[in-house]
Amino acid sequence: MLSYPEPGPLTLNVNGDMLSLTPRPADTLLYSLRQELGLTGAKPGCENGDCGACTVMVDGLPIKSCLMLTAEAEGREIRTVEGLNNTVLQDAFMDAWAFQCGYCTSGFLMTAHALMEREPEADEATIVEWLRSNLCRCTGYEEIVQAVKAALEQTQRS
Amino acid sequence: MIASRFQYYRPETLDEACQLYMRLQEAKKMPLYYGGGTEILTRARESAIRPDAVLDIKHIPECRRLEMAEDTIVFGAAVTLDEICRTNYWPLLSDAAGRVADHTTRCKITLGGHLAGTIPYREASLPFMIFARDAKITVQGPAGPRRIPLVQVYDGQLHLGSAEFVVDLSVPRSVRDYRGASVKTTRIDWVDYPLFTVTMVRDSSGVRAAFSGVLADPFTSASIDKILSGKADLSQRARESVAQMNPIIDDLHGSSAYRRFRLTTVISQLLQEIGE
Repeated sequence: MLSYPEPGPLTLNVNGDMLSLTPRPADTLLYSLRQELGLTGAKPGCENGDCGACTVMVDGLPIKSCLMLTAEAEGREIRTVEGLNNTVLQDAFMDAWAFQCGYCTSGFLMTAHALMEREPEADEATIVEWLRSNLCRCTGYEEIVQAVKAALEQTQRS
Repeated sequence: MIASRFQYYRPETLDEACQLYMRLQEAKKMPLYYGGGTEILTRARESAIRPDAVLDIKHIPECRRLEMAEDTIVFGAAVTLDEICRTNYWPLLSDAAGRVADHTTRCKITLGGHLAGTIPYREASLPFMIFARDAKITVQGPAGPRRIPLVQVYDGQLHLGSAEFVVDLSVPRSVRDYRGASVKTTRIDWVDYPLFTVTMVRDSSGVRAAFSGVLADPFTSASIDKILSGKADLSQRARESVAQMNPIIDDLHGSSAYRRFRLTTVISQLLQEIGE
């Protein structure tokens, strides 16, 4: 049985790299990514599972990293916004000006990236349903939906 | 950040989990079984709970079963609501589970945690409550697993003994044959705590319904089912059934008068939707 009764070393697979860290058993994945691994792309917003600013992908699924313990994530494939480089989706966000202050953007990108992998034929209703997991307090939702639609269309064309 | 300290354990068998829970209890610790952990983590962050240990049951194979056999559908306690929706073995359950929280959070919330949590809505339990006489639950405890009718331990709240936890829920495959629908209403936004949720089914004996967000806990009622199955026009049946509900919740999400008004409308719509 895997157990962490005390802070102890563990290894996480983040963006394809095996990274060692020593979290407390009560540390969330969000906390460890930012404070121990220096990966600050996942943003602390509400830390209550509401805003989605901390969304990462775990085994291909969007997960709010404030709602996952670091110990839970051991043995799973974690992808953060730092693992996205020059993707069609990021280009589409820039083309559509799908951000204002930008604080929520990494969370939206990870939710949308998971959507593109799991639902490559997604229609607008599906896009909206997935993106309802994330909040943008600048209220730039329309541009974000347009960006995701454009990225999906471009991926389908290619 | 979660300020309090707790230990993390990942048992791999039912017995291992239960024995560990009892050992921790004997050592005067407060252990918690941990499924998706969404409620445990948010409450621990607020210091509303201070567990000494969490026992992550997601790696116990029996808790991860999600199977549709010839005559039964089995939903493991550690299956997420997203997995339930995606496999869609029971469309009525998919409807109800698919309106809990938001899409990303449903990738983490497990069926067992949803039933055992303190958040009172438990919308995904409504289809099981409608078929409570046929639904079974497997509970692991110190004496081993026991498979019993759901009604013995769930009446809108889960009543388990010390060190017990839910392993799975199962229903006859025939539940798929009945025409049903589920509607969650919110005050303003699509993603929000519910104003209320109504799930309704029509079978050869009439209409059966389950409600959440109306009274303190989810409930079914034979007298309401009788009214809903009657011959009066739909709006009258809706009004008479809502009149049976008392006391209706009156809180920030909506006053009892507002809930009563919306309930009457939604019940009429659902009756129409299931072919009444």
